[in-house]
Amino acid sequence: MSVEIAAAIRSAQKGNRQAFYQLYRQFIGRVYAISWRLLADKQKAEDACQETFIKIWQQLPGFRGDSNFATWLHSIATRTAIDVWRQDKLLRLTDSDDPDGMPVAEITENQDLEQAIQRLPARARAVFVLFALEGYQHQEIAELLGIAEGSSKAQYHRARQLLKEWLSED
Amino acid sequence: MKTEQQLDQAVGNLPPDILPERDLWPGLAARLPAPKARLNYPLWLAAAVFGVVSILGYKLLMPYNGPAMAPSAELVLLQTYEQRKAEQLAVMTSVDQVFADWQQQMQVWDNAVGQVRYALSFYPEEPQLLTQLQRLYQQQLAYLQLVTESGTRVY
Repeated sequence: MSVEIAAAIRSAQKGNRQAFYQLYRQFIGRVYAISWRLLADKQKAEDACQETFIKIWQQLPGFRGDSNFATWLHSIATRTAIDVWRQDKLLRLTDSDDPDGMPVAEITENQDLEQAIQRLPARARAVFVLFALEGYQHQEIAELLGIAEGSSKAQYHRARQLLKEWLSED
Repeated sequence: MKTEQQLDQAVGNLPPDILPERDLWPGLAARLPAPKARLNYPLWLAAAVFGVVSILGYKLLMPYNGPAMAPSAELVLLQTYEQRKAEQLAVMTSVDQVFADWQQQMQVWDNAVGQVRYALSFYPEEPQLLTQLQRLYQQQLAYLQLVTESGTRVY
């Protein structure tokens, strides 16, 4: 952690908004990446980002530096995005876990891995992002998403199969 | 992309950061609540202090039927400032994070007050000691008012 970031953290802990803006500028890319990849929706990702930074602002006075700030922030960002993901899943009338319902033309046109991840079914996408990109273990993912550990492994396997299949279509 | 290795390599090449299309700060800044520190000081304690000081003040002000004896200057100072401190504590609901250590600060003044009062026990009417005691109480009260106001400030 740089000296500037450490100073900004200390100052923001005392309520300095300018210092908090520095932290926002430094970490917004990381927070948005987690939110956007998990939620696959620009508006929801933006909302999750704002929620994350509000939580960080509120909890910052209690941050004692026992853990790395980036790790602490990353954990809040992931949990916030998952909360939105779970609410979103509850609101859906039908589970969109069936990729067959997606327009084939769009899938073949978008060969980029990032876009392919966005097209994964919600649960498979969440598991894939958390395991492959964020480094969580299946047991942790199961707890975070409220699913069985075996289900997490199965969804991850499914996500990989779909990604390989889609990205092979030239 | 046909192999697991190719997929792993592609995943490893994804950037860790993605910037949103628009700046989220203006909306975020408007939603940031004012930083507040929760009070560790129980309200019942403030109420108890207020009660004790009120009783003490009442007893001091009550007509004394015994031999005529004016309360000492030290006692008047004590009664006056302790009551005003108790009033401040009674209206305090929260404090700004900047004053998170206000109780320790108050303790420093209390210790100084205790030392001056100890000296007064040997020289009860010493003007310099009484002036010093009054100054300490004034400083402590001014600080307490600042702390109390910080909890009601609108950001």
